[in-house]
Amino acid sequence: MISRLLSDAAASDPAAPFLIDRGRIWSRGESLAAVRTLAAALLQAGHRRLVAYLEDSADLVHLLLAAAESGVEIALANRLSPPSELAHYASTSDAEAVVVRTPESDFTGRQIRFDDLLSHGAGHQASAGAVDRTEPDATVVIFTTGTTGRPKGVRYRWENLVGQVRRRDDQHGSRWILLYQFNHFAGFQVLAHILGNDGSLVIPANRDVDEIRTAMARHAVTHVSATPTFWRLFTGQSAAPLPEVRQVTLGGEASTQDLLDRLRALFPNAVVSQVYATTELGSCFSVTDGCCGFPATLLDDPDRPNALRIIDGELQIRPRSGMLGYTGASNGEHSSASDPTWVPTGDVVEQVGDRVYFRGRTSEVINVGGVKVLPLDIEAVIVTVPGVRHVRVSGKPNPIMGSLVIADIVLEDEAPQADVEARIRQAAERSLSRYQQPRLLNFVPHLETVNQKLSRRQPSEPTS
Amino acid sequence: MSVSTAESIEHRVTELVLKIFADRKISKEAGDLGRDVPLYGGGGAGLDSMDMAVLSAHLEKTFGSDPFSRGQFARTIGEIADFYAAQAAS
Repeated sequence: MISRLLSDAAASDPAAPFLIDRGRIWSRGESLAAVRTLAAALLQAGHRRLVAYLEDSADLVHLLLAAAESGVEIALANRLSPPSELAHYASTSDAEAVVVRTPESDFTGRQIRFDDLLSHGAGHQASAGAVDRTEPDATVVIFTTGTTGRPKGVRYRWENLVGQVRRRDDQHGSRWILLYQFNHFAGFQVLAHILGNDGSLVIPANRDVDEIRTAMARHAVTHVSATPTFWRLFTGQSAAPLPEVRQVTLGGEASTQDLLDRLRALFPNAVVSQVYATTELGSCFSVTDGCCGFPATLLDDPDRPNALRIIDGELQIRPRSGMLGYTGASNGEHSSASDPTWVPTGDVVEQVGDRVYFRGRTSEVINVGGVKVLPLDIEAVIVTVPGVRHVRVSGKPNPIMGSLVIADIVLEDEAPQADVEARIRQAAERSLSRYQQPRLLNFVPHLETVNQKLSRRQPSEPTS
Repeated sequence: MSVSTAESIEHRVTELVLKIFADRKISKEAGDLGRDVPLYGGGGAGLDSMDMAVLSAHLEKTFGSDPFSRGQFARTIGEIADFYAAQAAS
Protein backbone atom coordinates (compact mmCIF):
# COMPACT_ATOMS: atom_id res chain seq x y z
CA MET A 1 0.00 0.00 0.00
CA ILE A 2 2.80 2.40 0.90
CA SER A 3 4.93 2.07 -2.18
CA ARG A 4 1.73 2.02 -4.25
CA LEU A 5 1.27 5.66 -3.23
CA LEU A 6 4.62 6.36 -4.87
CA SER A 7 3.93 4.19 -7.89
CA ASP A 8 0.52 5.86 -8.41
CA ALA A 9 2.16 9.28 -8.19
CA ALA A 10 4.90 8.16 -10.59
CA ALA A 11 2.29 6.82 -13.03
CA SER A 12 0.61 10.23 -13.24
CA ASP A 13 3.83 12.26 -13.56
CA PRO A 14 7.07 10.24 -13.41
CA ALA A 15 9.33 13.27 -13.92
CA ALA A 16 7.91 15.25 -10.98
CA PRO A 17 10.44 15.67 -8.14
CA PHE A 18 10.00 13.39 -5.12
CA LEU A 19 13.16 13.89 -3.08
CA ILE A 20 15.76 16.66 -3.16
CA ASP A 21 18.74 15.30 -1.27
CA ARG A 22 21.54 17.86 -0.84
CA GLY A 23 20.79 19.30 -4.26
CA ARG A 24 20.35 15.94 -6.10
CA ILE A 25 16.78 15.73 -7.40
CA TRP A 26 15.14 12.32 -7.47
CA SER A 27 12.06 12.16 -9.66
CA ARG A 28 9.17 9.92 -8.65
CA GLY A 29 10.17 7.50 -11.42
CA GLU A 30 13.80 7.34 -10.31
CA SER A 31 12.82 6.81 -6.68
CA LEU A 32 10.37 4.09 -7.64
CA ALA A 33 13.10 2.29 -9.58
CA ALA A 34 15.45 2.50 -6.59
CA VAL A 35 12.74 1.19 -4.26
CA ARG A 36 12.09 -1.78 -6.54
CA THR A 37 15.76 -2.62 -6.83
CA LEU A 38 16.20 -2.60 -3.06
CA ALA A 39 12.98 -4.56 -2.51
CA ALA A 40 14.28 -7.23 -4.88
CA ALA A 41 17.48 -7.49 -2.86
CA LEU A 42 15.60 -7.75 0.45
CA LEU A 43 13.27 -10.42 -0.88
CA GLN A 44 16.05 -12.39 -2.48
CA ALA A 45 18.08 -12.40 0.73
CA GLY A 46 15.06 -13.46 2.77
CA HIS A 47 15.44 -10.79 5.45
CA ARG A 48 12.73 -10.40 8.11
CA ARG A 49 13.95 -7.66 10.45
CA LEU A 50 16.64 -5.06 9.86
CA VAL A 51 17.97 -1.96 11.55
CA ALA A 52 18.77 1.02 9.31
CA TYR A 53 21.77 3.06 10.47
CA LEU A 54 21.96 5.58 7.64
CA GLU A 55 22.00 9.36 7.66
CA ASP A 56 18.77 11.06 6.56
CA SER A 57 18.92 10.73 2.79
CA ALA A 58 17.08 9.64 -0.33
CA ASP A 59 18.78 6.26 0.14
CA LEU A 60 17.15 5.87 3.55
CA VAL A 61 13.70 6.77 2.19
CA HIS A 62 14.15 4.24 -0.62
CA LEU A 63 15.21 1.56 1.84
CA LEU A 64 12.19 2.24 4.07
CA LEU A 65 9.76 2.00 1.17
CA ALA A 66 11.50 -1.11 -0.16
CA ALA A 67 11.20 -2.74 3.26
CA ALA A 68 7.51 -1.89 3.41
CA GLU A 69 7.02 -3.33 -0.06
CA SER A 70 8.86 -6.55 0.67
CA GLY A 71 7.37 -7.09 4.12
CA VAL A 72 10.65 -6.60 5.99
CA GLU A 73 10.32 -4.84 9.32
CA ILE A 74 12.80 -2.00 9.58
CA ALA A 75 13.90 -0.23 12.76
CA LEU A 76 15.35 3.25 12.43
CA ALA A 77 18.44 3.77 14.56
CA ASN A 78 19.33 7.34 15.40
CA ARG A 79 22.32 8.12 13.15
CA LEU A 80 23.56 10.51 15.85
CA SER A 81 23.86 7.63 18.32
CA PRO A 82 27.38 6.19 18.51
CA PRO A 83 27.92 2.81 16.76
CA SER A 84 28.35 1.25 20.20
CA GLU A 85 24.56 1.69 20.61
CA LEU A 86 23.85 -0.51 17.59
CA ALA A 87 23.82 -3.65 19.72
CA HIS A 88 21.01 -2.08 21.79
CA TYR A 89 19.02 -1.15 18.66
CA ALA A 90 19.51 -4.60 17.10
CA SER A 91 18.58 -6.55 20.21
CA THR A 92 15.52 -4.46 21.20
CA SER A 93 14.15 -4.71 17.67
CA ASP A 94 15.14 -8.37 17.25
CA ALA A 95 16.92 -7.59 13.99
CA GLU A 96 19.22 -10.00 12.19
CA ALA A 97 21.41 -7.31 10.60
CA VAL A 98 22.11 -3.59 10.42
CA VAL A 99 22.20 -1.69 7.13
CA VAL A 100 25.16 0.73 7.17
CA ARG A 101 26.93 3.09 4.80
CA THR A 102 30.32 1.69 5.79
CA PRO A 103 30.88 -1.14 8.31
CA GLU A 104 31.24 0.00 11.93
CA SER A 105 34.07 -1.56 13.92
CA ASP A 106 32.24 -0.97 17.23
CA PHE A 107 29.46 -3.38 16.30
CA THR A 108 30.10 -7.13 16.14
CA GLY A 109 26.72 -8.17 14.73
CA ARG A 110 25.97 -8.66 11.05
CA GLN A 111 26.24 -5.55 8.87
CA ILE A 112 25.06 -5.00 5.30
CA ARG A 113 26.47 -2.17 3.21
CA PHE A 114 23.77 -0.14 1.54
CA ASP A 115 25.65 -0.11 -1.77
CA ASP A 116 25.96 -3.91 -1.69
CA LEU A 117 22.21 -4.16 -1.24
CA LEU A 118 21.68 -1.89 -4.23
CA SER A 119 24.04 -3.76 -6.55
CA HIS A 120 22.69 -7.10 -5.34
CA GLY A 121 19.14 -5.98 -6.08
CA ALA A 122 20.08 -4.80 -9.57
CA GLY A 123 21.20 -8.34 -10.37
CA HIS A 124 17.97 -9.93 -9.21
CA GLN A 125 15.37 -7.43 -10.24
CA ALA A 126 14.36 -9.22 -13.42
CA SER A 127 13.47 -12.42 -11.63
CA ALA A 128 11.70 -10.78 -8.71
CA GLY A 129 8.14 -10.85 -9.92
CA ALA A 130 6.90 -10.82 -6.34
CA VAL A 131 8.11 -7.27 -5.81
CA ASP A 132 4.77 -5.78 -6.79
CA ARG A 133 2.84 -7.61 -4.11
CA THR A 134 1.19 -5.55 -1.42
CA GLU A 135 2.13 -6.04 2.21
CA PRO A 136 -0.67 -4.55 4.30
CA ASP A 137 0.85 -5.84 7.51
CA ALA A 138 4.34 -4.43 6.99
CA THR A 139 5.66 -2.87 10.16
CA VAL A 140 8.27 -0.34 11.11
CA VAL A 141 9.95 0.44 14.43
CA ILE A 142 10.45 4.03 15.54
CA PHE A 143 12.25 4.90 18.75
CA THR A 144 10.93 7.38 21.32
CA THR A 145 12.98 10.55 21.68
CA GLY A 146 14.33 9.63 25.06
CA THR A 147 14.32 13.21 26.41
CA THR A 148 13.59 11.71 29.83
CA GLY A 149 15.10 8.23 29.57
CA ARG A 150 16.50 5.57 27.24
CA PRO A 151 14.78 5.40 23.82
CA LYS A 152 12.13 2.70 23.48
CA GLY A 153 11.30 0.99 20.21
CA VAL A 154 7.68 1.40 19.14
CA ARG A 155 6.22 -0.87 16.46
CA TYR A 156 3.74 0.47 13.90
CA ARG A 157 1.86 -0.77 10.90
CA TRP A 158 2.73 1.37 7.90
CA GLU A 159 -0.91 1.48 7.01
CA ASN A 160 -1.80 3.09 10.35
CA LEU A 161 0.99 5.62 10.06
CA VAL A 162 -0.03 6.80 6.64
CA GLY A 163 -3.68 6.29 7.55
CA GLN A 164 -3.28 9.13 10.06
CA VAL A 165 -2.60 11.48 7.16
CA ARG A 166 -5.69 12.88 5.53
CA ARG A 167 -5.54 13.46 1.80
CA ARG A 168 -6.37 17.13 1.43
CA ASP A 169 -6.63 19.31 -1.62
CA ASP A 170 -4.77 22.16 0.01
CA GLN A 171 -1.88 19.81 0.77
CA HIS A 172 -1.62 18.37 -2.75
CA GLY A 173 1.81 18.80 -4.25
CA SER A 174 3.17 20.36 -1.09
CA ARG A 175 6.94 20.66 -0.78
CA TRP A 176 8.34 19.96 2.66
CA ILE A 177 11.76 20.38 4.15
CA LEU A 178 13.00 17.76 6.60
CA LEU A 179 13.84 19.46 9.90
CA TYR A 180 13.28 16.42 12.11
CA GLN A 181 15.23 13.23 11.72
CA PHE A 182 13.50 10.31 10.04
CA ASN A 183 14.12 8.15 13.09
CA HIS A 184 11.87 10.49 15.05
CA PHE A 185 8.12 9.99 14.86
CA ALA A 186 7.59 13.53 13.55
CA GLY A 187 10.15 13.01 10.78
CA PHE A 188 8.32 9.89 9.80
CA GLN A 189 5.06 11.79 9.72
CA VAL A 190 6.56 14.23 7.23
CA LEU A 191 7.31 11.26 4.98
CA ALA A 192 3.75 9.99 5.45
CA HIS A 193 2.40 13.44 4.47
CA ILE A 194 4.42 13.50 1.28
CA LEU A 195 3.34 10.00 0.29
CA GLY A 196 -0.28 10.71 1.15
CA ASN A 197 -0.47 13.99 -0.76
CA ASP A 198 1.82 13.49 -3.80
CA GLY A 199 4.29 15.91 -2.27
CA SER A 200 8.05 16.22 -2.35
CA LEU A 201 10.73 16.57 0.29
CA VAL A 202 13.90 18.62 0.57
CA ILE A 203 16.54 16.95 2.75
CA PRO A 204 18.98 19.66 3.87
CA ALA A 205 22.70 19.00 4.19
CA ASN A 206 22.55 19.95 7.87
CA ARG A 207 20.27 21.70 10.35
CA ASP A 208 22.05 25.07 10.43
CA VAL A 209 19.65 27.99 10.22
CA ASP A 210 21.49 29.52 7.24
CA GLU A 211 21.52 26.24 5.33
CA ILE A 212 17.83 25.71 5.96
CA ARG A 213 16.84 29.24 4.95
CA THR A 214 18.84 28.90 1.73
CA ALA A 215 17.35 25.49 0.92
CA MET A 216 13.83 26.73 1.64
CA ALA A 217 14.21 29.65 -0.74
CA ARG A 218 16.04 27.74 -3.50
CA HIS A 219 13.56 24.87 -3.60
CA ALA A 220 10.37 26.89 -2.94
CA VAL A 221 9.44 25.00 0.21
CA THR A 222 5.77 25.37 1.17
CA HIS A 223 5.50 23.27 4.35
CA VAL A 224 7.75 23.15 7.40
CA SER A 225 7.46 21.22 10.64
CA ALA A 226 9.78 21.45 13.65
CA THR A 227 9.91 21.64 17.43
CA PRO A 228 9.38 24.87 19.40
CA THR A 229 13.04 24.57 20.46
CA PHE A 230 14.11 24.63 16.80
CA TRP A 231 11.74 27.47 15.92
CA ARG A 232 13.01 29.55 18.81
CA LEU A 233 16.54 29.16 17.45
CA PHE A 234 15.38 29.88 13.90
CA THR A 235 13.35 33.00 14.69
CA GLY A 236 16.21 34.27 16.87
CA GLN A 237 18.65 34.16 13.95
CA SER A 238 16.46 34.91 10.99
CA ALA A 239 14.23 37.95 10.73
CA ALA A 240 13.44 38.36 7.00
CA PRO A 241 9.92 37.04 6.26
CA LEU A 242 9.45 33.90 4.16
CA PRO A 243 6.19 34.65 2.32
CA GLU A 244 6.12 31.51 0.13
CA VAL A 245 5.60 29.13 3.07
CA ARG A 246 1.95 28.04 3.40
CA GLN A 247 2.06 25.91 6.54
CA VAL A 248 4.25 25.92 9.64
CA THR A 249 3.85 23.13 12.14
CA LEU A 250 5.11 22.92 15.70
CA GLY A 251 5.09 19.75 17.72
CA GLY A 252 6.86 17.61 20.26
CA GLU A 253 6.87 20.24 23.00
CA ALA A 254 4.46 22.84 24.32
CA SER A 255 4.70 26.20 22.59
CA THR A 256 4.67 29.68 24.09
CA GLN A 257 2.68 32.67 22.89
CA ASP A 258 5.74 34.79 22.17
CA LEU A 259 7.04 32.12 19.80
CA LEU A 260 3.72 31.81 17.96
CA ASP A 261 3.72 35.58 17.48
CA ARG A 262 7.27 35.52 16.10
CA LEU A 263 6.35 32.73 13.66
CA ARG A 264 3.35 34.71 12.49
CA ALA A 265 5.67 37.61 11.62
CA LEU A 266 8.27 35.40 9.94
CA PHE A 267 5.73 33.43 7.88
CA PRO A 268 3.03 36.03 7.05
CA ASN A 269 1.14 33.79 4.60
CA ALA A 270 1.29 30.53 6.52
CA VAL A 271 -1.16 28.70 8.70
CA VAL A 272 0.67 28.10 11.98
CA SER A 273 -0.40 24.71 13.31
CA GLN A 274 0.42 23.23 16.70
CA VAL A 275 0.23 19.46 16.54
CA TYR A 276 -0.21 17.26 19.55
CA ALA A 277 1.35 13.89 18.77
CA THR A 278 3.36 11.32 20.63
CA THR A 279 5.37 8.39 19.35
CA GLU A 280 3.03 6.05 21.21
CA LEU A 281 -0.33 7.62 20.31
CA GLY A 282 0.38 9.10 16.92
CA SER A 283 -1.09 12.41 15.86
CA CYS A 284 -3.99 13.32 18.16
CA PHE A 285 -5.13 16.86 17.36
CA SER A 286 -3.92 20.19 16.02
CA VAL A 287 -4.68 23.83 16.75
CA THR A 288 -4.37 26.59 14.16
CA ASP A 289 -5.77 29.68 15.88
CA GLY A 290 -2.38 31.15 16.75
CA CYS A 291 -2.87 30.91 20.52
CA CYS A 292 -1.00 28.54 22.79
CA GLY A 293 -2.85 25.65 24.42
CA PHE A 294 -6.04 24.25 22.89
CA PRO A 295 -9.78 25.01 23.08
CA ALA A 296 -11.60 23.33 25.95
CA THR A 297 -14.30 22.24 23.49
CA LEU A 298 -11.96 19.38 22.48
CA LEU A 299 -12.40 17.89 25.95
CA ASP A 300 -15.10 15.39 26.73
CA ASP A 301 -16.29 15.19 23.13
CA PRO A 302 -17.19 11.53 22.66
CA ASP A 303 -17.39 11.92 18.89
CA ARG A 304 -13.75 12.81 18.51
CA PRO A 305 -11.62 10.02 17.03
CA ASN A 306 -9.05 10.69 19.75
CA ALA A 307 -11.04 11.55 22.87
CA LEU A 308 -9.44 13.83 25.48
CA ARG A 309 -10.03 14.36 29.18
CA ILE A 310 -8.22 15.79 32.21
CA ILE A 311 -7.76 13.61 35.28
CA ASP A 312 -5.92 15.01 38.30
CA GLY A 313 -4.44 17.75 36.14
CA GLU A 314 -3.03 15.30 33.58
CA LEU A 315 -4.19 15.05 29.97
CA GLN A 316 -5.50 11.61 29.05
CA ILE A 317 -6.21 10.39 25.52
CA ARG A 318 -8.25 7.49 24.22
CA PRO A 319 -6.58 6.83 20.89
CA ARG A 320 -8.25 5.74 17.70
CA SER A 321 -5.23 3.96 16.29
CA GLY A 322 -1.66 4.10 17.36
CA MET A 323 1.27 1.82 17.82
CA LEU A 324 1.06 -1.97 17.98
CA GLY A 325 3.24 -2.10 21.06
CA TYR A 326 6.76 -1.65 22.33
CA THR A 327 9.46 -3.91 20.97
CA GLY A 328 11.04 -6.35 23.42
CA ALA A 329 9.19 -8.27 26.08
CA SER A 330 10.02 -6.26 29.18
CA ASN A 331 7.69 -3.31 28.66
CA GLY A 332 4.57 -3.70 30.73
CA GLU A 333 3.11 -0.25 30.06
CA HIS A 334 0.18 -0.21 27.65
CA SER A 335 1.32 -3.05 25.44
CA SER A 336 -1.49 -2.62 22.95
CA ALA A 337 -3.00 0.66 21.85
CA SER A 338 -5.80 -1.21 20.09
CA ASP A 339 -7.18 -1.56 23.61
CA PRO A 340 -9.77 1.24 23.71
CA THR A 341 -8.76 2.59 27.10
CA TRP A 342 -7.59 5.95 28.33
CA VAL A 343 -3.85 6.53 28.20
CA PRO A 344 -2.20 9.05 30.56
CA THR A 345 0.01 11.34 28.47
CA GLY A 346 2.28 12.61 31.22
CA ASP A 347 1.35 16.17 30.20
CA VAL A 348 0.16 18.43 32.98
CA VAL A 349 -2.59 20.77 31.77
CA GLU A 350 -4.78 23.46 33.27
CA GLN A 351 -8.11 24.71 32.03
CA VAL A 352 -8.51 28.48 32.28
CA GLY A 353 -11.93 29.55 31.02
CA ASP A 354 -12.43 28.06 27.57
CA ARG A 355 -8.76 27.27 26.97
CA VAL A 356 -6.51 24.43 28.13
CA TYR A 357 -2.83 25.22 28.66
CA PHE A 358 0.16 22.89 28.90
CA ARG A 359 2.04 23.34 32.13
CA GLY A 360 4.75 20.69 31.81
CA ARG A 361 5.35 17.00 32.23
CA THR A 362 4.38 15.02 35.30
CA SER A 363 7.98 13.80 35.43
CA GLU A 364 9.20 17.41 35.55
CA VAL A 365 7.17 18.52 38.55
CA ILE A 366 9.47 20.27 41.02
CA ASN A 367 8.43 19.94 44.66
CA VAL A 368 9.46 23.13 46.47
CA GLY A 369 8.63 22.86 50.14
CA GLY A 370 5.54 20.77 49.31
CA VAL A 371 4.37 23.12 46.55
CA LYS A 372 4.41 21.56 43.09
CA VAL A 373 5.78 23.87 40.41
CA LEU A 374 6.32 23.21 36.72
CA PRO A 375 9.22 24.35 34.54
CA LEU A 376 7.13 25.53 31.57
CA ASP A 377 5.32 28.30 33.49
CA ILE A 378 8.64 29.60 34.70
CA GLU A 379 10.38 29.26 31.33
CA ALA A 380 7.54 31.20 29.69
CA VAL A 381 8.29 34.17 31.97
CA ILE A 382 12.07 34.04 31.60
CA VAL A 383 12.16 33.58 27.83
CA THR A 384 10.39 36.91 27.29
CA VAL A 385 13.12 38.83 29.14
CA PRO A 386 15.23 40.83 26.64
CA GLY A 387 18.67 39.26 26.22
CA VAL A 388 17.52 35.68 26.88
CA ARG A 389 17.77 33.36 23.88
CA HIS A 390 16.98 30.06 25.53
CA VAL A 391 16.12 28.77 28.98
CA ARG A 392 15.62 25.47 30.73
CA VAL A 393 14.24 25.28 34.26
CA SER A 394 14.74 22.31 36.55
CA GLY A 395 14.76 21.34 40.21
CA LYS A 396 17.90 21.18 42.30
CA PRO A 397 17.75 18.99 45.41
CA ASN A 398 17.85 21.08 48.58
CA PRO A 399 18.15 19.91 52.19
CA ILE A 400 15.61 22.46 53.47
CA MET A 401 12.90 22.76 50.80
CA GLY A 402 13.27 19.42 49.05
CA SER A 403 14.03 21.21 45.79
CA LEU A 404 14.80 24.69 44.57
CA VAL A 405 14.08 26.04 41.11
CA ILE A 406 17.18 26.67 39.03
CA ALA A 407 17.41 28.05 35.50
CA ASP A 408 20.03 27.40 32.82
CA ILE A 409 20.12 30.40 30.51
CA VAL A 410 21.65 31.02 27.10
CA LEU A 411 22.14 34.71 26.44
CA GLU A 412 21.58 36.49 23.14
CA ASP A 413 24.87 37.51 21.54
CA GLU A 414 26.53 40.32 23.47
CA ALA A 415 23.74 40.64 26.02
CA PRO A 416 25.32 41.82 29.30
CA GLN A 417 24.88 39.03 31.87
CA ALA A 418 24.46 41.27 34.93
CA ASP A 419 21.70 43.32 33.29
CA VAL A 420 19.84 40.25 32.07
CA GLU A 421 20.15 38.64 35.51
CA ALA A 422 18.59 41.71 37.13
CA ARG A 423 15.79 41.78 34.56
CA ILE A 424 15.07 38.08 35.09
CA ARG A 425 14.80 38.62 38.85
CA GLN A 426 12.42 41.55 38.35
CA ALA A 427 10.26 39.58 35.90
CA ALA A 428 10.19 36.58 38.25
CA GLU A 429 9.17 38.69 41.24
CA ARG A 430 6.44 40.32 39.19
CA SER A 431 4.95 37.20 37.61
CA LEU A 432 5.85 34.16 39.71
CA SER A 433 5.17 32.96 43.23
CA ARG A 434 8.07 32.70 45.68
CA TYR A 435 8.10 28.95 45.13
CA GLN A 436 8.38 29.35 41.35
CA GLN A 437 11.08 32.00 41.28
CA PRO A 438 14.41 30.63 40.05
CA ARG A 439 16.88 30.75 42.93
CA LEU A 440 20.03 30.01 41.00
CA LEU A 441 20.74 31.26 37.49
CA ASN A 442 23.41 29.41 35.52
CA PHE A 443 24.56 31.13 32.34
CA VAL A 444 25.57 28.45 29.85
CA PRO A 445 26.82 28.58 26.22
CA HIS A 446 24.13 26.21 24.92
CA LEU A 447 21.49 23.73 26.06
CA GLU A 448 21.55 20.06 25.14
CA THR A 449 18.81 18.89 22.80
CA VAL A 450 17.62 15.41 21.82
CA ASN A 451 15.93 15.24 18.41
CA GLN A 452 15.70 19.03 18.58
CA LYS A 453 13.77 18.96 21.82
CA LEU A 454 15.27 20.31 25.02
CA SER A 455 16.86 17.45 26.91
CA ARG A 456 15.31 17.23 30.37
CA ARG A 457 17.27 14.24 31.57
CA GLN A 458 19.40 16.22 33.98
CA PRO A 459 20.31 19.83 34.58
CA SER A 460 23.68 20.90 33.29
CA GLU A 461 26.45 21.77 35.69
CA PRO A 462 26.70 25.42 36.67
CA THR A 463 29.38 27.41 34.89
CA SER A 464 29.35 30.47 37.12
CA MET B 1 44.08 27.30 60.77
CA SER B 2 45.09 30.91 61.03
CA VAL B 3 42.92 33.64 62.47
CA SER B 4 42.89 35.40 59.10
CA THR B 5 41.46 32.28 57.36
CA ALA B 6 38.66 32.07 59.95
CA GLU B 7 37.94 35.76 59.47
CA SER B 8 37.92 35.34 55.72
CA ILE B 9 35.36 32.47 55.92
CA GLU B 10 33.15 34.48 58.24
CA HIS B 11 33.41 37.48 55.95
CA ARG B 12 32.35 35.43 52.90
CA VAL B 13 29.44 33.82 54.79
CA THR B 14 28.30 37.28 55.95
CA GLU B 15 28.39 38.55 52.36
CA LEU B 16 26.17 35.67 51.21
CA VAL B 17 23.73 36.23 54.09
CA LEU B 18 23.54 39.97 53.35
CA LYS B 19 22.78 39.19 49.71
CA ILE B 20 19.78 37.09 50.82
CA PHE B 21 18.52 40.01 52.92
CA ALA B 22 19.08 42.39 50.01
CA ASP B 23 17.13 40.11 47.64
CA ARG B 24 14.29 40.11 50.18
CA LYS B 25 14.57 43.88 50.40
CA ILE B 26 15.16 43.68 54.17
CA SER B 27 17.62 46.37 55.19
CA LYS B 28 20.54 44.84 57.11
CA GLU B 29 24.21 45.57 57.50
CA ALA B 30 26.97 43.33 58.77
CA GLY B 31 26.86 45.12 62.11
CA ASP B 32 23.19 44.19 62.59
CA LEU B 33 23.94 40.49 62.43
CA GLY B 34 27.24 39.74 64.11
CA ARG B 35 28.19 36.14 64.83
CA ASP B 36 25.34 35.13 67.07
CA VAL B 37 22.06 36.69 65.90
CA PRO B 38 19.63 33.95 64.81
CA LEU B 39 18.91 34.45 61.13
CA TYR B 40 15.41 32.94 61.11
CA GLY B 41 12.57 31.89 63.38
CA GLY B 42 10.91 33.81 66.23
CA GLY B 43 13.18 36.59 67.45
CA GLY B 44 15.44 36.07 64.46
CA ALA B 45 16.64 38.52 61.86
CA GLY B 46 13.72 37.86 59.53
CA LEU B 47 14.63 35.05 57.13
CA ASP B 48 12.24 32.15 56.50
CA SER B 49 12.80 28.57 55.40
CA MET B 50 12.85 29.52 51.68
CA ASP B 51 15.56 32.09 52.37
CA MET B 52 17.57 29.53 54.32
CA ALA B 53 17.17 27.07 51.44
CA VAL B 54 18.52 29.68 49.03
CA LEU B 55 21.36 30.45 51.43
CA SER B 56 22.25 26.75 51.59
CA ALA B 57 22.40 26.61 47.79
CA HIS B 58 24.68 29.67 47.65
CA LEU B 59 26.89 28.25 50.39
CA GLU B 60 27.22 25.02 48.47
CA LYS B 61 28.08 26.90 45.30
CA THR B 62 30.70 29.00 47.08
CA PHE B 63 32.28 26.43 49.41
CA GLY B 64 31.45 23.12 47.71
CA SER B 65 29.33 21.88 50.61
CA ASP B 66 26.79 23.27 53.07
CA PRO B 67 26.06 22.54 56.73
CA PHE B 68 22.35 21.84 56.14
CA SER B 69 23.08 18.92 53.80
CA ARG B 70 25.28 17.49 56.56
CA GLY B 71 22.42 17.52 59.03
CA GLN B 72 23.50 20.68 60.87
CA PHE B 73 20.76 23.26 60.91
CA ALA B 74 22.99 26.24 61.54
CA ARG B 75 21.08 29.22 62.93
CA THR B 76 23.70 31.98 62.95
CA ILE B 77 26.56 33.28 60.85
CA GLY B 78 28.89 32.04 63.58
CA GLU B 79 27.55 28.48 63.38
CA ILE B 80 27.85 28.44 59.60
CA ALA B 81 31.38 29.86 59.71
CA ASP B 82 32.36 27.33 62.38
CA PHE B 83 31.17 24.51 60.13
CA TYR B 84 33.55 25.58 57.37
CA ALA B 85 36.33 26.37 59.82
CA ALA B 86 36.05 22.82 61.19
CA GLN B 87 36.12 21.46 57.63
CA ALA B 88 39.17 23.51 56.78
CA ALA B 89 40.93 22.33 59.94
CA SER B 90 40.23 18.63 59.39
